[in-house]
Amino acid sequence: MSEKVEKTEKQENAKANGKANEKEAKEAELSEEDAQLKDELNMLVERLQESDSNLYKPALESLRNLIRSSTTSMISAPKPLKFLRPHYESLRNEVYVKIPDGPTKRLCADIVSVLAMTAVDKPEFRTDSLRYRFLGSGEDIGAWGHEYVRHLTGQCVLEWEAMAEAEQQQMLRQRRLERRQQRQQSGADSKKDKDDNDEDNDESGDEDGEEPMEEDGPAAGGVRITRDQLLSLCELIIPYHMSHNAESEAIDLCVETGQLAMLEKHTGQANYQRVCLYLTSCVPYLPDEDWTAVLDTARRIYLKFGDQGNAMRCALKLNSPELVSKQFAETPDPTVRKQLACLLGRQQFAVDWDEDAYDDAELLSELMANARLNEHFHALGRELDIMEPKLPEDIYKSHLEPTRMSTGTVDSARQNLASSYVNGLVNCGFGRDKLLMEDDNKMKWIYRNKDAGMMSSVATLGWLLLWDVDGGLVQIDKYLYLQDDNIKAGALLACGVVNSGVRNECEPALALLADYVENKTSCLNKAALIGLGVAYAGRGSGGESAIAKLQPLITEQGKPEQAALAALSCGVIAAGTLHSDVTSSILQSLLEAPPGDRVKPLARLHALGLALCCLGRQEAAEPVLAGLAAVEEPVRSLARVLCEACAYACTGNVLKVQSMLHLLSEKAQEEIGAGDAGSSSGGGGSRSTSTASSGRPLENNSGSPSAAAADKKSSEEATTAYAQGAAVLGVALVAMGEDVGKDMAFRIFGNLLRFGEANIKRAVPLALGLVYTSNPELKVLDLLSKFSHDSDLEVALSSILAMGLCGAGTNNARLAAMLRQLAGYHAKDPLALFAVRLAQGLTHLGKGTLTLTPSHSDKFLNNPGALAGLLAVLVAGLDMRRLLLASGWDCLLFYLTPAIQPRLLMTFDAELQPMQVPVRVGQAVDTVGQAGRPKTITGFQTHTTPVLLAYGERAELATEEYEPVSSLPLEGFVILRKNPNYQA
Amino acid sequence: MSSLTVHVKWQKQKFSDVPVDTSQPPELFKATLYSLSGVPPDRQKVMVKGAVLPDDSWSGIALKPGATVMLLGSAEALPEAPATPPVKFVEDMDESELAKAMDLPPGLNNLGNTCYMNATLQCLRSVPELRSILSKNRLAGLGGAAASGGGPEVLVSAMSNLFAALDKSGNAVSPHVFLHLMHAAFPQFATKAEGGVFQQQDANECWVELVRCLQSRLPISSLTRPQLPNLAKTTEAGGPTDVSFTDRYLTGSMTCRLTCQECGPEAEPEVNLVETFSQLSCFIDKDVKYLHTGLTNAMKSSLTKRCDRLGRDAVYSKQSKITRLPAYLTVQFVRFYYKEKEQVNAKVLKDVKFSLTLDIYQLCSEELQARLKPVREQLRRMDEWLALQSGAAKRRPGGPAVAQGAEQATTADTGTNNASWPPSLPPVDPGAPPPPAYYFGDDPGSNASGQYMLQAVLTHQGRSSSSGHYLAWVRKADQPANANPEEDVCHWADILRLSGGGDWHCAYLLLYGPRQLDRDYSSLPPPTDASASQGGAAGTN
Repeated sequence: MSEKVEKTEKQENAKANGKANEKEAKEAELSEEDAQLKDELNMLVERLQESDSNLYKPALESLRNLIRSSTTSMISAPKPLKFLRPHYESLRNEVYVKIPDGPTKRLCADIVSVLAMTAVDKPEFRTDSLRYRFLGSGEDIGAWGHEYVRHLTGQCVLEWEAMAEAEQQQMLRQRRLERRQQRQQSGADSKKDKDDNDEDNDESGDEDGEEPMEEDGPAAGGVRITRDQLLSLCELIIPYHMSHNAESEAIDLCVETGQLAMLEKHTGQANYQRVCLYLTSCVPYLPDEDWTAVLDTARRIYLKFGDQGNAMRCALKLNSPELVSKQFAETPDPTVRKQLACLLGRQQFAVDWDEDAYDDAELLSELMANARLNEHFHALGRELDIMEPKLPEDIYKSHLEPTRMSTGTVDSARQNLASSYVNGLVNCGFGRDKLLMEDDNKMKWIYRNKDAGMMSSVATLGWLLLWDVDGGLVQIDKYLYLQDDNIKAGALLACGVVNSGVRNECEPALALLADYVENKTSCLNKAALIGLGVAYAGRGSGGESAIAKLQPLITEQGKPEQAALAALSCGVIAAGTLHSDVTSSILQSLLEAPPGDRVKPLARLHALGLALCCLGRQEAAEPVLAGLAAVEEPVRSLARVLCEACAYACTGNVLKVQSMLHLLSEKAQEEIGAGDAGSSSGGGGSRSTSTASSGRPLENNSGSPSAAAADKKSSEEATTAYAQGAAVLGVALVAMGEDVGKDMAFRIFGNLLRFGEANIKRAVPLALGLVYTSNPELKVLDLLSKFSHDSDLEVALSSILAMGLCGAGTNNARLAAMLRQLAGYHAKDPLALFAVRLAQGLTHLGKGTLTLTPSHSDKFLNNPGALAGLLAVLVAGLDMRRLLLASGWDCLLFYLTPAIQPRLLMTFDAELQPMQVPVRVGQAVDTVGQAGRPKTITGFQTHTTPVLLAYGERAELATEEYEPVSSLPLEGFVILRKNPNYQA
Repeated sequence: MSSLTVHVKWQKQKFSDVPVDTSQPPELFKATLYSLSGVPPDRQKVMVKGAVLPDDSWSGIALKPGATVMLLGSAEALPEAPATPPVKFVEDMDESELAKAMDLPPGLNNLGNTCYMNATLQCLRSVPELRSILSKNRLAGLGGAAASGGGPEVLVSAMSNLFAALDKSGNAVSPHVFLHLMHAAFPQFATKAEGGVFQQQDANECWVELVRCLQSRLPISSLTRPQLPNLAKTTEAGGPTDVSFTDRYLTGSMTCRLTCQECGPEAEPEVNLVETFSQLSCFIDKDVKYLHTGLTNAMKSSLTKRCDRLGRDAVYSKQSKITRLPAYLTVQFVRFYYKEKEQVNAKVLKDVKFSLTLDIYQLCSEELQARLKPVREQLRRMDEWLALQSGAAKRRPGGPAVAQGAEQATTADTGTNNASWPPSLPPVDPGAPPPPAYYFGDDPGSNASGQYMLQAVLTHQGRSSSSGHYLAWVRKADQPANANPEEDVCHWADILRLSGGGDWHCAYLLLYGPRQLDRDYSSLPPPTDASASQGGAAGTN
């Protein structure tokens, strides 16, 4: 007690003496215990620095004890580490070196390794923890606390990367050596290729960078670490993390070092869900080669713990028919198998399975074929009491429009057609309407449309009766017997549309349409081609017979319209399959097409057909891209961009987005450069120099005549305009996969809209429509609404349509009001008004029960057919006036059909009888990488199934009585079973 | 092995184990299906694995035992094209057909800053009586007037020709002849700016000149007396001596009482003057927010004149009372004043609200007020009926009754109501005498109620009378239509928004027409009496 008093007195005296030195003042602030600790530590270090080697061991041991006793805290830096930090260098470079080998040296290495945590800011000490760990005694890794393991983890990754880099350098150096030898053999070749030059430069740059690295090796304590060593350490670290709620770090380490198998080994029942969630959420941020491995690991972990549903999701995301079939066959529980069949049906994934192997084969095939979709959708409609058909006027509410045209008595063909579409969209899937199927005036409305409008009007029957193959076709069939070609064509298209997304073993769509694919009458031909594409969209191998019908037409000469539609439909059917026949015949047709056909708007569709085959195939699509090299411009760049974008669709691949953006900016600059030169010179002669100045010195340097140059320029412009629109869509397509990418894309699009060229501006709204399909976020609507008043009609048209896509099936009141206002604003422009009407129809799609978004299963999977359909419409929308909204071509809108899906949650018992249970529906919360059992939804409301789910909403059961048979997200059709642990 | 059984799916039904003999022609199978489903064979489509069964052979069809086959077809009659003639679409129409179909008033083409004239003509054309008289005038006096050459007669005949052309054509008409003649008759409108373009003119001046022209050159007496029995009667009875159209339909009269302010009313006898007017002016000063205020203010004015008693100039106050109301009342907003400094006719942009109906009972003399009363009583009763009905129509969907303004009552729909409440108006007996005219029996072309409804508005957009743009907005049936070719139909609310206060069009001239009765209400009981038990609120609010 008295000692203490003395000490404090001393301290006070010291203060009073007024030592102004800051360090001293700080020391004075130390509490008594801390000061004591510091003295002790200093003393120990001094002892180590002295030459008496007998004292080393006890000193080190007491150091170790002091450090260990305090590394438990995770909040503040442990005091001993703080106090020892100034001594780190001396401990590392002097003390450790002078201690003779033996246990004492190892002990010292342990301590250096721990202390290195405080010295990571100096580059030469960066991986010291790791290096001295290997020199140390190798005791239990957790003994030094969590923070130490974290440091080791980080340094493992650093070291691993450094090794990989070193290996690469090694390879390069070897290659360079070989080349030099070759060069010497071939003698002094003065002509150096440009490529070679570049490479040489690169290499010399690398050389500069790599030398200090080599020096760095020996400097770091003279330790060389081998991969095996690192791996053995990982083997220790990973279980530690796994058992300490730090799965994310373990996964990061595994992913960085490529040791996914280790992850599989160490994941346990308690945390496999969190591990897999983290893994699957990593996928968009991983480089191309890693993501399949990661996803496959997640799949295997799921399987290991019997989570069939999620394993199937991963298999589907991997797009691997073998894995899917295998898992489907190996699923033990028949009820779970039914649930998997539902998932497969939603994804439209064709599986090879042995029908004879199961007792409930018929039911399973029904589920996979979506045969009862229509029935269940009607049940939802009855439950929500929205079966009563709606008239277009109920949607327009034109009495609320700001200006009213007194056109009551006059029929406008375009507006009537718009009403037909709206009627079809609004009553989509309900099987009843008031315009076309009302008993007394069946044909009256059809005859209030004109020519091709009649076709589209009849075809909307397909929307009305969507998915109802058994009951719907018969209502369409009678129109097939009529004389009027337009009506007949409409009926054909309707037959195709009805079958969209529903499989039927008799394949009625093919049976009815196949005879017309080569019909001479343009409208019948068009209807059959589009109809087949829609009916078999995304069916892959299931659509083989349809592809067989369509594929020969692609290469047929002299019928560009038929060829383009056949190519597009083939692409839609074979979406994401890289179907070799289809790709080769489209490539061939692109190569052979006469030059005149290439600039026609249809060429876009042609190229899109090819691109759709590559959908989501990433690197596997390279051969197709290579094949395009021989195609002539302007189609080449267009097809390239489309293929690349499709191949990386929904991956969020930043590099691809960057390359697309590069294309947008680079070409714009070129165009500006050329344009400026053209306007300033005026004369013909200087044109060639101006082109030369914009970066192509070798192309026309021999004083080519100005006419040729002008030709070249115009064709270049066409190329630019052609490819840029597609590139904008490409950005959207790649970015739509994950949320961060979406936000970035939104910002990019804002800039493009403000500063882009006209052709870019026109495409941006469509791209927004793709990214935010059926997801009417306010910022998007605001932006689109602004540009829907643009003075450039094309921009306005695409904005309007994009508004419709964004709000598709949401009944969004705000959007409805915006569109109503737009209807007034564009009242005098029939084309714009048509677009507004379409957007209104889309907004109220299926009276607000349907969605167009291709993503499902908690935004994890994308239905390729749906995405292909959306893309077909959007690419056609790049040329609104000549394609999508042009009269006679508006039927391209039916490509939207595969994307139409109910956004419902319906629950069934094991016998697939619908049952009603309470569920909570709320905004989904991101729970990736969070410890414990975080809430998955927020702001929820409790409903009884069947219930509608909006974009970004998630459901969970609000009762303990039942539990879902699989841990799939509660979406679509969900099978429940009694909870065995439930007590009322 | 040619005989097997298959399952047939037809609509939602399924026929199991239907025998097929593929060695026989398919007709046989179809006949079997006919017996099962009732679908005649020629309407049957039998689909097997993506192929339709042909009529003549089984080629290309591979039937397996137990396979499922889909039968498509129904016995239902085929839909037929409607008997109605093919629809004519807007897209196929030319301009005149379009205008006819849309029932739009034909426009006048702008011949270079002649919108002031076009707007004036369109407003005048909205007076039905003027149109009928002009057309008769045209038929009767075509040759003579045109031959006499130059001057107002020609202008009147040109106007009648122009109106006739407008009636016939659906397209916009270019009033070249009329413009030329007008320039000849009134050279002040023919001024040209640099470059030979006509200058913009003041529409009110044009209006006044045209009306004056009609006054002097469009006598009713010779032409229309036989067609207008009432008129004939009064003239025979020695009514007003001048019978020009303008005097009858567009001109009112008022008595003005002049009192010398300095002497006071007692000192000097009041001077009573009778004045005629073809326009009421609404002067805009800072207190005037409503048309009515402006009109009332204009009734009281002061002027300086020589006072006999004082022997020098003195300030007199002038109090006017209207003694005759014309059927068509023109109101001018005095929006333009000459700014000395800038030497322009500057415009007052102030917002002066006007309504769709105008009641100037207050401005009339007591004598006239007494005469106006019977018709006003009938109009009031009509309003009550209409308010009752539209109130009921609004209330039926479930909302509370909304207070009915007079303007809604004028546009409300009558007679669609069959329910017992509210009592519907008894149907008009076709044999019954026509509803009372809007004018006094002894004074055709007058207004017998003091109530007007808005007929046409002439608006101006711009900062001075000799620049900017003029438009005419004309009532068409129940809706206002813009008579200029570049604009379309709009709402009453848009019309009321023309009251000024910004750079958008502001009303410059208003043409009010008489409110008319749709039947004789004097014989009908007031609606509230008939249904007192059901709550009189609907009628009274």
